[in-house]
Amino acid sequence: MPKVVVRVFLLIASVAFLALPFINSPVLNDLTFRICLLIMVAISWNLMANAGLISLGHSAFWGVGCYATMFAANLFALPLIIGLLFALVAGALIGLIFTLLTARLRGFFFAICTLGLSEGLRVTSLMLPDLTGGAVGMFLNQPIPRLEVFVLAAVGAFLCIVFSAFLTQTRFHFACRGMRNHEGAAQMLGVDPRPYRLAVVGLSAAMTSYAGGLSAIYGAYIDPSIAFDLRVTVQSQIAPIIGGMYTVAGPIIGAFVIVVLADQTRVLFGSSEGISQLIFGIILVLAILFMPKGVVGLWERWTSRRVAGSNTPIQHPLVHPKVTTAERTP
Amino acid sequence: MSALLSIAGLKAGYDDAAVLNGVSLDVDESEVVCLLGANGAGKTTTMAVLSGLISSTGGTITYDGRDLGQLRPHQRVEAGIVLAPEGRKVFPDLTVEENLLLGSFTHRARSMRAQKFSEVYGLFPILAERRGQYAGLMSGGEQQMLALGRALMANPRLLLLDEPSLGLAPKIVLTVFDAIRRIAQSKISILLVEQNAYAALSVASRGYVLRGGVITSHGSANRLRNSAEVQQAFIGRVHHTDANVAVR
Amino acid sequence: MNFIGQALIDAILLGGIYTLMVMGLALSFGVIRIINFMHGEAIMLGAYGAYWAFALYGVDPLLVLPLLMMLGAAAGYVLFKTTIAPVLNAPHENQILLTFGLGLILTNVALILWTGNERSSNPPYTFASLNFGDIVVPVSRLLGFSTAAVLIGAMFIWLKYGELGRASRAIAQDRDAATLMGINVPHMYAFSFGVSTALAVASGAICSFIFAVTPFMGFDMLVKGFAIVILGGVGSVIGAVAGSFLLAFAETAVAYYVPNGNGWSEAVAFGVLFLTLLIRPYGIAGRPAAG
Repeated sequence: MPKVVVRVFLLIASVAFLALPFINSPVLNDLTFRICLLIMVAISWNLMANAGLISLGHSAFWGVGCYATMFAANLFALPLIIGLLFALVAGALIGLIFTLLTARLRGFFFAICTLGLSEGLRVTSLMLPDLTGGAVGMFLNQPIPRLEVFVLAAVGAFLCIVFSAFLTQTRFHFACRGMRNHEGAAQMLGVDPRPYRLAVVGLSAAMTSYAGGLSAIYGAYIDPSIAFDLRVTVQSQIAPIIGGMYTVAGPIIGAFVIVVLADQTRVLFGSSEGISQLIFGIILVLAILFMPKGVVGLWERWTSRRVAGSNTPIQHPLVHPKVTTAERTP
Repeated sequence: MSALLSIAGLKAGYDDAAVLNGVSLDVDESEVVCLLGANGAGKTTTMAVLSGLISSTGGTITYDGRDLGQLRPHQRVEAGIVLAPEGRKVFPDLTVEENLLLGSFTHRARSMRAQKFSEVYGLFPILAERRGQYAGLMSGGEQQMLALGRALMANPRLLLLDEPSLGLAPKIVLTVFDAIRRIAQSKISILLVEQNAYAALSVASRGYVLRGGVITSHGSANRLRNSAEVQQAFIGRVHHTDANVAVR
Repeated sequence: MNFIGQALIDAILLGGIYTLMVMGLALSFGVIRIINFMHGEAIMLGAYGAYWAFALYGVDPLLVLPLLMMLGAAAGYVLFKTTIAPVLNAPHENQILLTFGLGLILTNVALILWTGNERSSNPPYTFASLNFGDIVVPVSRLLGFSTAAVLIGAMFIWLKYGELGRASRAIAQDRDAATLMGINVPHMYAFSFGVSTALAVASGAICSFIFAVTPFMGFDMLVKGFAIVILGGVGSVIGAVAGSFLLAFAETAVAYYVPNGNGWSEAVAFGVLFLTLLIRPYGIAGRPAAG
């Protein structure tokens, strides 16, 4: 597709996307809100994954954002946008500290530490009721600023998308990919992984915290198990994986799919605990085993096969039939 | 007469790099054959393909009349093809005795375990002395003897030796090759790959030269020892008497 | 009032139980070199198995334990061959996410089937205890510890003197060399995974009469399990024993001497994990070798 068409399409889509919050339909607003949040979280998870850092504790950052925003709203009676700023800063801070502490860790060790972080924060918030309300939780003591929440969610998602698209054009992106493949090799190429790691985790954490903060205000109530909900962690992985890890469109597609899927599951099976999580687990396993490149990968395979078929020159008869067969195979 | 091992047109490599480009060689029953080559010629690759650790990309390997390609690595050991790999690869945190016990893991070997132990301890008394020592703490020469002993425990019909002289002092090399000579006396077929042509040709009856992934010459040990190619490539001088002295 | 004696006994008994819970994890790390995020679920399923056997048929958990172990071993073997073996050579991300996903599936199947209500099996000895002066020793924990000790001891003997045990140790040290011994390494991988699972299931059966049984107990055990294995040294079986007791002591100390300690003991594992990775990432018995 010619570039101009793509650009016009994107422009229209962006305008439409940002205008959605102003349409007064609670169902639509709720749906797009949740999709926006998941887009941010998925992009955030994907950002870390792209640098070889698998996070099994994204709910840590989400929860930090929840509490930061609640504090700002309740204790300091600050406007929402300032509260979200708190969330961004708090999230980034936690991310940075965490990265400094885990500087020498890779792969699995890093992953298990993220899990430890989310669980540790959950227990901590449970055990400090004077600060966080403990198991009783915190209620939002002002009316929910609905329009603001929706707009900020859409803007946040939009910025995350633009940012992640922008990143792929930069040296930053290639540094991260190098890190993913082999940090040692990246170092040999003159890339010092440390500042990149800090940047990746800090940004990632900030994005997820922002989303968490929004969800806290929208739900008007949080407690440790809601703030540090394992389901956030699960969705943060599934969305980019099913959409296509390491790509820009992947997390977005994945976010749509997951939110819609979760809703349909609730329609079909009621809100019985565990069904949607079970389905997510199955999707995750199947995706890893059979579809490691997600929806984007399928799309790429389909489009490249068509291109290959038409571009391959006539070859030796032994080879040509194989090419044609590949074209025909669905 | 068909050989015990017959390799024809063998091709193999790693990822996109071809290492072997059509290697053919035979080893008969009770024969000691050496495969000479410089670093990177493909000797270890040949051994890896024979043992099953890597697969070939072309050619055939026939062992005892059957196509070896179908057999998985552990099945080849069960069939009597045993590799003592380059660098010894003894199990460092296991004792000498445990290493030897592992050598006789296969069914083929397990039933003859006691007998094999006395054979190996007879051949390498130092292993009997050190049977409780952790293999990782042994010297290079001792580890090589352990590696040989471990291979013998498997009751091999075809013994593959990959660079037994690697990293060893000349005196130790002599000891090791002495042991190889004695092993050869028990009618086991041996395919030996080596950079040290002197040592290899002192135990082998026949040899092949591997260069650039193909066999460039072959013949009896005597012929090879005196051939210009071997002399220049491995020995570096043409003097006949010097070569004999070095081997002794 | 002197807590020390009681705390000591509690810590020792807990340490033994933890050892059984994580031993399978250490084994699969060391031999197969995989990261098994569904290990906790094997514990959970063992616990439910024992619970249902008791609730429906009145069978004592310790009696049904051998049967559960065999079922666990078989299930582990099959599961490994079908779903895990394909990702053995894949990037570590795939292994992490795959086993995490499998764990998620198992947890939620349990949640759907049996709800989130806490359960425990209550054979008669759960209410009994032995008294030594001031010190109270719950019989259930004592039995759990003893069973764990027997199983762990048997495993060590098998590793040291058994043919397959020795082969497992060989594989852990040098996989290619092990192949050259005629060991069928892929088969041994599945077998080791089966053994891992069996040990986890056994510990679950014990847990059924000591701790609360919920679908999430496996996940709760996950951070603890990894903290122990990392503390002890990844791949070291002895290290796993040491790590288990150390964590048990740390948790017990916190529970007794820190105000509200019981609640905080959950976070102890996290602290241990972090400290270990900061100070000595290869653990007590591990080597600062290639990462």
